[in-house]
Amino acid sequence: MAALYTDRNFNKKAKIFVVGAGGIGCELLKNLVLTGFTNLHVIDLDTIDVSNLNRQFLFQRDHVGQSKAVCATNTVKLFNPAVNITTYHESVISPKFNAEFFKQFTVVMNALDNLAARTHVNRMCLAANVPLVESGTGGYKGQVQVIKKGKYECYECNQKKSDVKSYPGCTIRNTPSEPIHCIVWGKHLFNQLFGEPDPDQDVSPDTADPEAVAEAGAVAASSETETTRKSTRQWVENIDYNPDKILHKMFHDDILYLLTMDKLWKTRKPPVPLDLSQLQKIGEGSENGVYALKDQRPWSIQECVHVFRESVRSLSREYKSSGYLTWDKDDKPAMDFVTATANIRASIFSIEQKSKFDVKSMAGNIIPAIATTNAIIAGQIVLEGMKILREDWSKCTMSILQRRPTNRRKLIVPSPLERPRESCYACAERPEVTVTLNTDTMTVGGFEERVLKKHLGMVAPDVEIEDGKGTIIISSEEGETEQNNDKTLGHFGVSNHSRLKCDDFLQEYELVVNILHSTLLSESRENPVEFTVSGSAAPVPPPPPSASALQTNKRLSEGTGSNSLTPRKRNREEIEVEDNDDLIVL
Amino acid sequence: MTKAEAQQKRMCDEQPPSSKTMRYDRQLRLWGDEGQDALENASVCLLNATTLGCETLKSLVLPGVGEVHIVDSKTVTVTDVQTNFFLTPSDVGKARSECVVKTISQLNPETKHTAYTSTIPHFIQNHMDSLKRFSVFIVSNLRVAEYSELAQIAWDSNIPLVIANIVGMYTEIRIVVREHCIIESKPDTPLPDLRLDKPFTELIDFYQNIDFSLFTDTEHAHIPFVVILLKCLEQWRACHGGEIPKNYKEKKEFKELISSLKRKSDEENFLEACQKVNKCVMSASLPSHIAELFEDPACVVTPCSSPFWITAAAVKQFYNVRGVLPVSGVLDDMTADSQSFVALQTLYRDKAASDAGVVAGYVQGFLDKLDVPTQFVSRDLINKFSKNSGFIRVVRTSPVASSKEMMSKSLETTDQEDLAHVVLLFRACFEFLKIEGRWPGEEEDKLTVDEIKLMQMWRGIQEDLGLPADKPAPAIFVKDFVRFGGTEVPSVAAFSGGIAAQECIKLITCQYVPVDNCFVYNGGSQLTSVFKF
Repeated sequence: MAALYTDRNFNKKAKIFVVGAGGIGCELLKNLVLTGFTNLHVIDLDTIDVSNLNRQFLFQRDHVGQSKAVCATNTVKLFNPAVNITTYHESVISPKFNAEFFKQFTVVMNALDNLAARTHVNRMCLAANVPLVESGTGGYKGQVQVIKKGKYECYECNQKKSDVKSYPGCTIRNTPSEPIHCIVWGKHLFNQLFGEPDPDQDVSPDTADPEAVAEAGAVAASSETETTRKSTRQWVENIDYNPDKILHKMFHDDILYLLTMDKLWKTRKPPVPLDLSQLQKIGEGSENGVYALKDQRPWSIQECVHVFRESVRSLSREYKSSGYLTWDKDDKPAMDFVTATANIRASIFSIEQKSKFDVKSMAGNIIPAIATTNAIIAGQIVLEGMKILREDWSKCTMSILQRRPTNRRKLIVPSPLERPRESCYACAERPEVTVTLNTDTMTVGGFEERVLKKHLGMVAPDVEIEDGKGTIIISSEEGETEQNNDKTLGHFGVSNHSRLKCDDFLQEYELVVNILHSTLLSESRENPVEFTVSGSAAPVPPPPPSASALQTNKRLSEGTGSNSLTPRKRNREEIEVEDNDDLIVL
Repeated sequence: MTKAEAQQKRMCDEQPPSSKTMRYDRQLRLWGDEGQDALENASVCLLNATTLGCETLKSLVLPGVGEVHIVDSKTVTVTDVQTNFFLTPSDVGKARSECVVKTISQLNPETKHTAYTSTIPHFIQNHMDSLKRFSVFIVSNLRVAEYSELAQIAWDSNIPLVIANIVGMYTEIRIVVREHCIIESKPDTPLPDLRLDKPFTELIDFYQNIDFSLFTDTEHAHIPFVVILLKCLEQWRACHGGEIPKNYKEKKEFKELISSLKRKSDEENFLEACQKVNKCVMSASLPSHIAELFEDPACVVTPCSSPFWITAAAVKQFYNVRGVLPVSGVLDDMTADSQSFVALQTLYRDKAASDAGVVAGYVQGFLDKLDVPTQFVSRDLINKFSKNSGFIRVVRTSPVASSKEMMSKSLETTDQEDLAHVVLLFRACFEFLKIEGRWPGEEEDKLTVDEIKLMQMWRGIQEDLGLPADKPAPAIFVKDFVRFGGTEVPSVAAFSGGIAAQECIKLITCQYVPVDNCFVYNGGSQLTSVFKF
């Protein structure tokens, strides 16, 4: 007992930053308060949803719609008025939370649900040199990892699977073959009709499809699709969101147009346009049956068409009164719209239909979540946190919660922490990466969005070419370099072996990107590769990689360049490899 | 409004998804409506509201367990408030069961709650008739003598008992259940049940009429991989004495055979067929645990047989007659045009239905002999059993007074000696509690004396189990158990409550295989293990 109280006094001095007040966050706050921590900061951008209530026990039905961070704090304080909690209802990715801010904490504890925020907090903790306890749960599985700069691996030392899958544009627009393709198209259509238009989310037939065009090089000018896109919104407003006219264009006229691209249908089953008049006849025939639309079975096409009409009416009303809508899986008309749209498109392309329950899962990237797993993981986080406070570094572990005991009868598999990876582009002393791309086609804007931000996790980079002149091609200052976005890297003299100094002030992170120019990247239609990133610098140019080798190395690949490390196998015992999709969130 | 419009309106004004569906959405994706129904109809009883006990209840109430009953005659102490989130300083001195129920009930309006301030013997006496309707009993930090009567009742009525003990950084969670039958064990990576080695008549008829050479290129690129494998196997068998490819070398040759039929190098369905060879082309032997199930004495129908065992006996009969288990009827998505996929899916589904029908016939035969009405075994159970017949599990643990042989064997053979010490020290602690009437270390001026006493008790238990008594006592662990004086470390209680609740959910939903049977955790080293005794 004596020990317990000593710990309590000890814990009073510590200042903890809890990032996330959701499933893990609620449990974590409870445990921290009970362990005697009295100085806590908690941040969460989210508001409470009904579907949180099965596990986020600090919230009740009346709290739906309120800030998670604020509400969690209030509930905790009801039980423990003496606790001092500072609350932020905003994104952790913000200049407000700079390295100076992070430096005030003894430990940062992540209770997050997405890769982008995890990566960012990892960088901030590296910049501020504050230890971090990283965690994640998905269904019955979960894990906890201690991160300490210079001592143990950081969050980015190991390759992470992106939590947002992307699909090739032409598959989505021209040749869907799986239900998910139709669902993605449905979400794009939602944004085209009611949301903030995004040029990457075109829903019309892609005339520049390399497979449809005789030669891949002779790509049609993209200006044509540009006008189509602009006019989609114009057109739909002109017809006053008439559901039948939208149906006719999207599921009849556009499909007829696709059929004219006959190269696409040589080895594929051609789509069958929706015949609305035919459908109505059938519809009238079954008018007497009372429909009870269930979430758990796929709807018939007639049902889909009915739901489509209704949801378009309701969404267009909402759009007219409140402006751009954001797609939300928990908003009934929005969910109905995507379910109906995806299934009509699926039937046109002879693809399996999905129930609303399943569509929601796929469209909303829903990861099953339960109270028990979060309780287990949050308990573990605090126990690791205590070791950090005692500076008992050798005892810190990375532990993985399994769905069932392993063959060696372990439900939790702890493993010792690894040393930082020398070539890690986040925590190395002077991080460098090598990016292979085509400098004649990669635009500055594409480089910033897809390479620096999406792949390398930067937030607001400044990029300078090490060309002796210090040419700045990207500036984080608004309005300074936007005019460069559509120009290629080659235009600014970036070529094979150019070095780009990329600096993110917020993350206090500087990265040198070595460019390898290649025209051999895969142009395969189904699996296009725009660039590859390898985790280390490549001082000696490697032999030009073959196109097929690059194709498989779509993601961060170690092993190019002479000083690269062979991919290390973690010395974690008996982790059962599963090709699961209730993914373990690292 | 025309009739048609009214119809449309009615359709789209459908009932919004019930608030329950929305609240439980994220967990329905794991255990489905059936699991949820089981949970909502379940009634859980906790004896002794420790922090661990309350953390367990929390994770049962949130997902919507039907009823929670808390039996505790103690009053709230300052230590309770410090470790248990659901108690506040103003609760000190009040009845612990009532205070805990008051806050836990706020977690979910759907769950019913009852607090009993009586002692355990009184509770048992006063509720003798209603005890049998509980789904799970949880006992926490009690001596066996305090709950042995209840354990006996639970054992006799086949109600699972979950023992959840915690001291400081250490926990043990033990499941005691006479017989727990699981139809949906949900294995991690079930192999597809395609019957490629022994195709059934309808399947043979289906693929024999298919001639790849007649297909257009489009059709050829959409032949389901199952059909490709069947066709190739037919060809293979013809020149291999009717055998399917067995070893690595043969499978490699077989893949070459498949590839040779491709018209284009990247035909996805043929690539898929090659990929599936290792997983799908194998002789369907009876899984060893199903062979054990068939040999189980309970798998012989008697007037006392449960619906589960009558069905098991019927499936055994099915196997004895046909040499295979009933077809599961599940076919995962594959590269194929939807028509041929649906045709194939229907084929497997129909076969599964007809196999389940045969099983139902055998069940009826047993029921007729017993002169029991047909409803005794629901058709739903038979179908589910048939579908999952390769994955049926039965878990039987020893009663609370476990056999010394099993315990010593389990402790001796473990590779986690530290955790074996924890198991024995929990027993030593309860022995201490019995003799001294308090936890070791509870009185701060007696720490050293308590350490010596606890060590002696550890030795006694070690001897009693026939384990080497000359071994040095695990001094570090003894010190640690005394150091915490019977108190709980909140994070360890939270962690272990999650584990205990998850086991309760498995037991209630009859999905997944529960831990068999004693989970042990050291919160200091994060080591866990499972012992069986």
